[in-house]
Amino acid sequence: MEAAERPPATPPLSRTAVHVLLAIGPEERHGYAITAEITRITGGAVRLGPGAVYTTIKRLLDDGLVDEADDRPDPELDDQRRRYYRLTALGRAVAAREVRRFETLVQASRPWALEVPPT
Amino acid sequence: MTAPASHERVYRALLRLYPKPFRTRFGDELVQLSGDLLREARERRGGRGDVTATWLRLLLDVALTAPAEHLEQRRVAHSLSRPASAATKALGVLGVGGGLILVSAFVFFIPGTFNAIRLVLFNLGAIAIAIAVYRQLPAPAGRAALVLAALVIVANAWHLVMVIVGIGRPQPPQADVDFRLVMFLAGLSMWATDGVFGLIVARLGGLARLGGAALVLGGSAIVGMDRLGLVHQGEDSLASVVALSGVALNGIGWIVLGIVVATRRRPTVSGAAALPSG
Repeated sequence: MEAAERPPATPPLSRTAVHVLLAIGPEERHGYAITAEITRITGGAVRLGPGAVYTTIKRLLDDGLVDEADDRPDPELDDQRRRYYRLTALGRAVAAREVRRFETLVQASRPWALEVPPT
Repeated sequence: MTAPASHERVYRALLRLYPKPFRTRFGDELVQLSGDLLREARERRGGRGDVTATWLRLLLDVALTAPAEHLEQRRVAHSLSRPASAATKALGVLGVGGGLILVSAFVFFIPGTFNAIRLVLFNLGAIAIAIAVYRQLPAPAGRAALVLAALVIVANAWHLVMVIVGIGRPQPPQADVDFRLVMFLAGLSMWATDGVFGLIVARLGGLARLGGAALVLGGSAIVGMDRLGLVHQGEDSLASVVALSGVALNGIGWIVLGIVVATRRRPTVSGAAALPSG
């Protein structure tokens, strides 16, 4: 088990980077699985294209938040050309920080925002 | 091996809009993901409408992310590099000054001795840039640059000395039978080496290619028309116009190269491997 790292005091990630981090989550996922998961967790509101997914993955790889998984699933079950990505300890810590940020935001806004009747 | 599907050929062509390092690293995955998304669209009940909408989304995705990735590559390259040294900047500025002074003759009338001083300053500028370019070109081009820079420096220095000697002589070089040949050869070697030097500075890439092309074209025009005897004293011909244009182009080439060497950033040792090539 990797030790959890304290995330560096950096500006918040872009919305797309947060979506990709949260879509990878505790799993090892390839590009298509990441886009499908983003569509699922956002209720279909966000559909990322290949360019948006891989330019973001590149930045997350360069920043050490994500790395490429060495293990490949059974070749009978999946295309061996696919690359799988997973969160690093730092990536998990940053994801946790982003979730806490959302929680704070939601807690602060819920009392008034949800009182507004839907139009 | 099966031929790639038509969607794959089209999408691979679109990938050329991304920077090469990104394409090399993620190209296959991008193609695979685009194929997955199109397959998913075909399998949905929407049929052709869904496929068309997916293609539009893919096009929009490339249009938005390819320019952003180019900017990102530039930002990374910039962060991994540092400005030219003060010495190289000074050499570049001297070169720009020399080129401007050469070109200035086409804007202002410069009489007698001042015209010779103009050529002295131009020679000094060209020598400065030859040294700066040698300092900036990596091996093995650096070794070729050393040879060519040395030739440019010697030829310009020779021409410079001849110009200075000519200032003190009682009659102009063209009227002096003893001095005319050595001045002619000094000029020939200077313009010829300037032209050949233009070929190697193109290795610096970007704007340097324009400067190098100006030196090649300018040097060729001067050597071809003037130095090889197609231009005759006092004659207003096409050859004279071409030769004079060659001089102007040569001056512009040195100005561009001066700007390039003075503003060019150099990679840091740790970041050199990460810099995009070309």
